[in-house]
Amino acid sequence: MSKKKIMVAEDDIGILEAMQIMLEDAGYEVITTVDGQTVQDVTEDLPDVLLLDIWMSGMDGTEICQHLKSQPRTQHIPIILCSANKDTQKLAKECGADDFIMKPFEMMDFLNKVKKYAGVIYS
Amino acid sequence: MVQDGSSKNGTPTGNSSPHLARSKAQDQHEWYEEERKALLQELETEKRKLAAVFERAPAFMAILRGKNHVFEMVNTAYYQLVGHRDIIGKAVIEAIPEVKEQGYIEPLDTVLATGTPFIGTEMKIGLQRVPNGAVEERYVNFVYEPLRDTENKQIGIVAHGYDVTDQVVARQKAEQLALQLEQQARIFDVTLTALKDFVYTFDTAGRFTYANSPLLELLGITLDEIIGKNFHELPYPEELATLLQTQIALVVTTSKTVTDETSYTSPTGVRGYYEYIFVPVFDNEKKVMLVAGSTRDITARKQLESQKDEFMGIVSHELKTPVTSLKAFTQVLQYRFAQAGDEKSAALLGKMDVQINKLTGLIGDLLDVTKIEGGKLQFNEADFSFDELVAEIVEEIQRTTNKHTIEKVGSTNKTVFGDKDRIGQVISNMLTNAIKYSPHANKIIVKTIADKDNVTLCVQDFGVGIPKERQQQIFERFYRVSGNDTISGIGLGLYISAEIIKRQHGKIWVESEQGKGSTFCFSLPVQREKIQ
Repeated sequence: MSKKKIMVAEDDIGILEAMQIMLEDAGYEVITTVDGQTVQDVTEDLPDVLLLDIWMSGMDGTEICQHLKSQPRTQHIPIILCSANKDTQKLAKECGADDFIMKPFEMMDFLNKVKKYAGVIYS
Repeated sequence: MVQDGSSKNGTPTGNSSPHLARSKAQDQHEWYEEERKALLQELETEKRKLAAVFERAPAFMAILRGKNHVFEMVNTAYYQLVGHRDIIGKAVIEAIPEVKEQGYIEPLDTVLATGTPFIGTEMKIGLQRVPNGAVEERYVNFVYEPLRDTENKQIGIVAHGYDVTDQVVARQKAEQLALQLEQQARIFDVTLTALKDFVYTFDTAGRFTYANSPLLELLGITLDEIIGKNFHELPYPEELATLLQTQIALVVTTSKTVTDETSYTSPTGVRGYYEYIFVPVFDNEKKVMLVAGSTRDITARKQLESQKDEFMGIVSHELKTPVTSLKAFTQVLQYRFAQAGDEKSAALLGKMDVQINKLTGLIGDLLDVTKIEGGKLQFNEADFSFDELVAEIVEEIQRTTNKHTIEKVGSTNKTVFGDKDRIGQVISNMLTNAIKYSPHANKIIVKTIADKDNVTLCVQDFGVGIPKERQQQIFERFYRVSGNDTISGIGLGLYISAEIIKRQHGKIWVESEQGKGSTFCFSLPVQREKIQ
């Protein structure tokens, strides 16, 4: 049995670390990146869920989302768009993301959302 | 007597008897006597007539005799001019002493000496018309004419003329007014030139009747060139010209002021953003006689505003980033303490989390205000159950307070079309305010009702209340119920709420009594599209 793998793409180290701890405490395997390009180019070792920040340094999260959703290899990966922007819901819908989470967030809301797309923690 | 004498001498006259002659002379004498009497009577009548004419003449008249100009006769009009005083038989200087050195005596002397009449036109004269009264200024048109004896020698003067004070004063007033008017027009023109704003007027057909120099300079034309033209005949893009002409016509037909903003590029390439106002100018019959307007260059302000909006957007986003990780770490810690059985520490971290939520709320408010100011507040509208939203928010807010019980009264059973989150934000704001401003109460009532077209929600608290004179202000930006420094909040919430309700086509109001509490209400149209 291997743990479900969650990829967190977030350019703020603090948020990245906090999310990682929460997810690891909840029993997930977490891969993190602060670089948008890495997410865009992911082909190997695909995550079960992708948490994607909208304002990635130098890149627009919604564009990354659109790209991944257009690729046969990655289009099945559930994407949860994260942002402090009040229009996150609208943006998520527009770029084809599966869900969204508004920053700052309640830990339980966050974990419930991840669980919803990752399914059980162990596969 | 002559006849008597001749008859005594007894000189016979022809063949007539002395008796006969005598009686003839007697007859003649009587006849002459009667004739004389009749003539005298006639003369008297004529004299009286003349005196009456003299007396009643509209012009003033005076007859002065001798080198001292002694008043011999004056008429009523003369008395009216100089005042009723005892002047007959007195020299001018003695009778009307105040005219000395006013230039009226010397011409009398001259006329008497030379016999040449003197004409005075609108001459000022100071007269003490009431005994011991103030010297009054009058104006007269008059003539001094010599009065001659049988040898054609000047023996006196006839002075006659009119009191023209009223005409002169009226004319002077008119002249003064005209001068003032001209001066005002000049001041007006210079002021308008000194102004940076454009100021102009249109006739009711929307043609320029005036434009100040800043506008003329921008357009690169002269005043003569602009007068009589409408925007279509001037360097304006077709669409803007049509809009402006329509707005001017609207002012003429509705008598209402129009304000708007537009961008404009001048013929010389000056790009700017302008705000303008067109106002009606009414004639005496309250009909629009012309349209006046002014335009202000707000390019710099617009730039600053958009810079500010952008800045605020960045600031609040930047603030949210550390708050997000702070909140996340707090919750992780709270969870870990709870797992380890340290409930006290977990509770402390729970309190910290509540404060972080407040901070998040304030950052959100800041961002909302910025959006409102920038006209960028967005609404995501859809159908939603009003009662469900109310229940949801009440439950959420109830969780934040142990002291207050939120009591729900009524229901609407309505599906409302609008931005659920934003409307929820308003309810939430009203509830947090109710808690905040009733620290000594323990109950808050949320009442909802609906009629055919509207839902209404009221939040009643039993707190400090708001004095009547401040009840309108509280929906303004940065207002806070003062005199109670222990209550926090920068008062952005109500301003944002009012804006949200306004933009959702609803109404927001407050009923309050100081010391007894406040009831904040809003009403919203249920199905806007269907009503419209």
